[in-house]
Order: sequence, then structure tokens, then C-alpha cells
Amino acid sequence: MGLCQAQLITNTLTRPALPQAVTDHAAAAAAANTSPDLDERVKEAILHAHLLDSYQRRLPRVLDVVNNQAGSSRWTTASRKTLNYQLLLLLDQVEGCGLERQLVEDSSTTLMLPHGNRLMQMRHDAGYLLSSPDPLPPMATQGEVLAASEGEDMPDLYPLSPFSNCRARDTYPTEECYAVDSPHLYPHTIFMHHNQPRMPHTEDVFKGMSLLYAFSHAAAYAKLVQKHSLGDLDKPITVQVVHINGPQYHLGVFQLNTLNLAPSAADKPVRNLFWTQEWETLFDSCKFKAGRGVLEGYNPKVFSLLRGLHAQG
Amino acid sequence: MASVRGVALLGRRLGCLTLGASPAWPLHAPAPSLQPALLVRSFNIYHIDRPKPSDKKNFRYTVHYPEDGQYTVKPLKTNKLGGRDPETGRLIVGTLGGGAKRNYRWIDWFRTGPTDGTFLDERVINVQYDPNRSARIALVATGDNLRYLLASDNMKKGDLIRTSGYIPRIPVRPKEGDAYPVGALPQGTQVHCVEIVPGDGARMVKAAGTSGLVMRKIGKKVVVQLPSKRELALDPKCMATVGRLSNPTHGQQHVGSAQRRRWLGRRPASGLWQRKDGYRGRKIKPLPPRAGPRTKDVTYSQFIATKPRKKSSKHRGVLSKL
Repeated sequence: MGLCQAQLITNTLTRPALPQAVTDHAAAAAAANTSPDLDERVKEAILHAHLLDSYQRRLPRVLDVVNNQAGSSRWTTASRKTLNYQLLLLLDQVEGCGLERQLVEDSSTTLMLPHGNRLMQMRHDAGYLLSSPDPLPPMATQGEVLAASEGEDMPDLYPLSPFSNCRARDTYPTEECYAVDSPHLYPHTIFMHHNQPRMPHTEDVFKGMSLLYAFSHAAAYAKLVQKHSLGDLDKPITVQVVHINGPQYHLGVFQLNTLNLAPSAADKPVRNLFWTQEWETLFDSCKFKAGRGVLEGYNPKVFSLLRGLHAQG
Repeated sequence: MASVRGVALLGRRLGCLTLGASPAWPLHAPAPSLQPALLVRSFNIYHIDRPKPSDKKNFRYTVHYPEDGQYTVKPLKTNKLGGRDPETGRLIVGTLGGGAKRNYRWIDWFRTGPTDGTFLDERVINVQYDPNRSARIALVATGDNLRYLLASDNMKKGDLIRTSGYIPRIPVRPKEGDAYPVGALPQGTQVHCVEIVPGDGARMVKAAGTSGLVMRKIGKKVVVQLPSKRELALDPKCMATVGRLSNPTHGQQHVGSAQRRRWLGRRPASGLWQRKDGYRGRKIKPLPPRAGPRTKDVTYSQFIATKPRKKSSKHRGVLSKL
């Protein structure tokens, strides 16, 4: 229900893999990886962020349902963000094209859009928002977008509506804002962090969240910074999203083609596009064993995909 | 100790009193519920209003419904009552208490459907466990709303169930999980969650594995047989859901241990059957024959009456000794 519902809300079609440009660059980077110390540096970054960081934060009390006791280890390092930051620094060093990009931490974006005859408000806080002075190139041409919009069907949730389980409110704040209010910077990548030991949601719901975050930032930029009217966009806006939960990484690329979210069947509908793939695990476990920090099951594919994403734009 | 003659005299005098239909109390006495309890023990004639287990109140827990009163699918917090009346605070049921905490899932008992011949379609999202009842509950969704219903036996994720309030001339072909008015169902349909008063919500047949039966139609009423084999004559507009309820093997499962009974919120009872508590009748039966041989024991002989008793003249029995 997660991804299908998000698709219907944002008028999006999905693709089962990341776009060609990203995967090509990732494969090339992986193949030409002559410096093995790059992997070592990534592993070091993971160890540092998870085990060796001296900052500790107390977690709220959580009842462990399986063992019927309150969570025994309530201290944790602020690992996701530091790891992310370290990886971003590494990426900048390796790829070298992100020197003029700007990073904003804990940004908040609020957006109100009509969906058919209903008004919806999206309020999303991104962990990191990477903006660049050059826009990301569109991953699908105009022709491809129109062909896909006409050819493919949206998922059918009958009898549920796309806003199932969304509570309607009579009073709400009407302020809208985009995180980086500058016409010179385009959104590049959005990083979202979660740190839940047991995933309460399924993978599908996670993908839906990634899509919603990507959409809200792209649409907020189009509506608030570019001051675009609600309708089809001349120049599509492309945004990348990285959704992190513990060692799991979910990567996606979103192209905003239209702000008309509920087109009637009479008009030629134009849909937005979302390239995504299944979860990738960066590592299996990173714990202290016999007094030493040990990282097990490192997956180099994730870093190469991150390089592929970073190199765009 | 009164003599026999005295008792007989009293009986004759009481017989002279006429016992009319009106009570012997003065007409303007206060209501029985306000009279002190002592009076009940002396004159066990009048009904005194006291809380009882048959009051149909919930003596197990109180549910904290949301303040705005809106239906919600989130589990609601409860406070356990331990067998006490929620209003007076008195202990009514002594065997309730303890047990695991339960969050209350608010079940929607109202399967109202359109009366113009169309259907309300709902998708079953999940069939899950509910600690507050023996049957399983189904999370269903339509449009923007999610709600809980009691799950029927073969209901599973992804099913589509229908509700209709229309009574056609020819009875519908019922499908399990759908809800129709009782008047629209053919004879012999298994039903559950039956309304008694149209529009008042499901009241009958809610336990795991049970089902009622639509027996016959008489005049303007439909006769539905409950699992206890008792029959109800219902207004044809009363809604009922087709099929039998989920978890049919619930009644065959054993609790297993005294400890598990405590987890389920039941305190120890005094046992099912108490021989001499007076609720199962006085057992009048002849004494068993005297056991053992009759011996002339030196130590025992002084207590045995060897001489025959003198027969007394008229009055025999116990009272003659007095």
C-alpha cells in the first residue's frame, strides 16, 4: 500500500531500476576502482561513526516486545548523520564535482497543493539537503515522458482513496516554505535518516516515503522558488533521494514533470517519474567483539551507487 | 420452646389474616433501593435494586475513548476494574482481576449500506488478533476511512466485502463477509453480527466460530435462530453479516494451566461444584446400613440400651421427649 498510495498522491509512474546514467557511472567507478584504500576509508568512516564517536545520546525508553523488557542499551551514538557526512566528504574528494554544492542540515519544507478537489499539505524535514548551482539534467526526455504517461496505467487501489488513513483537518497553518530559498541553487539530493532497530514498516512503505519526500522538495522548489503555476512544467525538475535506515539504503531519482496531480481522463495526462531499486545493505553488523570494533559484511556496491548519484549534475 | 398446641394456635390466628395484593408496607414508604439492607434479610419479600453480574455492564475494564468522540483505528488505553462496577465501585464479580494489559480496538458494529440498490465495497487490509474477544478482527478500508470489523471464517487479506441496505423482491445470493438486511437473505443462510433493532448496531452472535441461521419468514418478520437454539423474530431491515465467525476452534482449546487462566484475567474460583452450598438442593436419602458386627464389648455395653423402651401413649416422635 505504501508505494502505490504515494504514486496516486503524487501522480507518478515508477521504474524498477535507477536511471541508466547513474548505473553506468556506478559500474564504471566500481570497475576502475584501482585504489583499494577507498573501500578501507569507507569502512573506517563506518566504524568511526558507529563505534568510535564519543558523542552519545540517551534514547527514550522502548519496550522490547520480544524479550518483554525495556530496551537494555539506551545509549547510542549519533551515527547516521556523522556517517553520512563522512561519506559525503569522501564522495567530494573522489568525484570532485561537488565543490560548489551546499549542504543544509535538518531542513524543513512545507507545501500545499490541490489534488483534484482536495487540498493537501506536505511537511517534510530532510536530514541533509544537498543543493547545487547547476540543475540536475532530466533523466527522461519529453517524448519518453509523454509515451509513458499515455501507455502505462496508474496503480488501482479500489475501494481505497489515495488519502486513506490521512486525517482531514479543518484548521491548519497555511505557511509554505522551501528549505533553501535561493533562486541560484537547485535541489540535488535529499538524505533522510532513520535509526530504528526493528523496521515497523515494510519495504513498500519505505519506498513510498522516499517518493513523497522527493516530490515535496521538487514541487516546493517549483512552486515557491521558480514561482511556477500549477500545471505541466516546461523544464522538468530532477531530484535524487537517499533514504537511510541503519545499514539499509534506498536510493531513488525523481523527475517532476507536472504539478497537476489529479488530471482527468479527458486531458492528456502527464505523469511524474520515479526511478528506484530495492534496498541495499551497506554492512551486516558493526559491533564491538572481544573489545575490538568489527565491521562485517561490507557491501561496496552501495558506495559506488552513491558515487553514481553524486556525479550527476 | 413453644408447645405444639401453642404453634397450632398461632397458625390458626395467622390464617385469619387476609393477604391482599398490596404490600403490607404503608403506601408512601420510600423506594426499596433506599431501604437498609438489614430489612432484606428479615423480610425477603421485595426486590432490592443491587448491582449484579447480569446488569450487562463491563466489570473488566473501562475504555478511554478519544475526547472528540471520532472513530479511530488506534488501539485505545483501558483501565482494569477487577470485577468492580464502573459507577459504584463495588465488587460484583469476585473471579475477575489481574491479567495482561489489553488495548481496546474500537470495533465498528454498524454495517450500514446504501438502500438504493448499489453496494458499499470495502477491502480487507489485515486480519489480526484482538485480546478483547475470541474472534479475530479485520481491518477494512474504503475511501479515506479505516475501521475494524469482526472477521468471518474465510476472510483474508485482499478480500472485497460488500454492504447493502436494500431488500429486493428475490433474496440475494449471499457471499461470506457481505452484510445484508435479514429480509434480503434466503432461508438457511448462516449469519453473524445480527442487529436486533434496525440501525442500532450488531448485538447477537459475536463469539468465535458461532453463527446464527435465518430460519423462515413469517408475515413481516424474519425468524433467526441464535447459537443457543433460541429464535428471534426480527424486523427485515436488521443488518446481519453472512458466514460464521473466525477462530472456530476456540471452544475446543484448553486454557492449559492455572497460570494461563490468571494471564487471561481470571482469579481463582472456589471450584465449579460445591456439594453442600444449598444451590443444588437438599439431598434427602436414607442412611446407609450400620457397618460392622454387633458385639457385646465390655467397654461399649454400658451405652447400649438392652431393655426395650416403654411405649408412650399418644404422642410419638421427637416432641414427646420435650
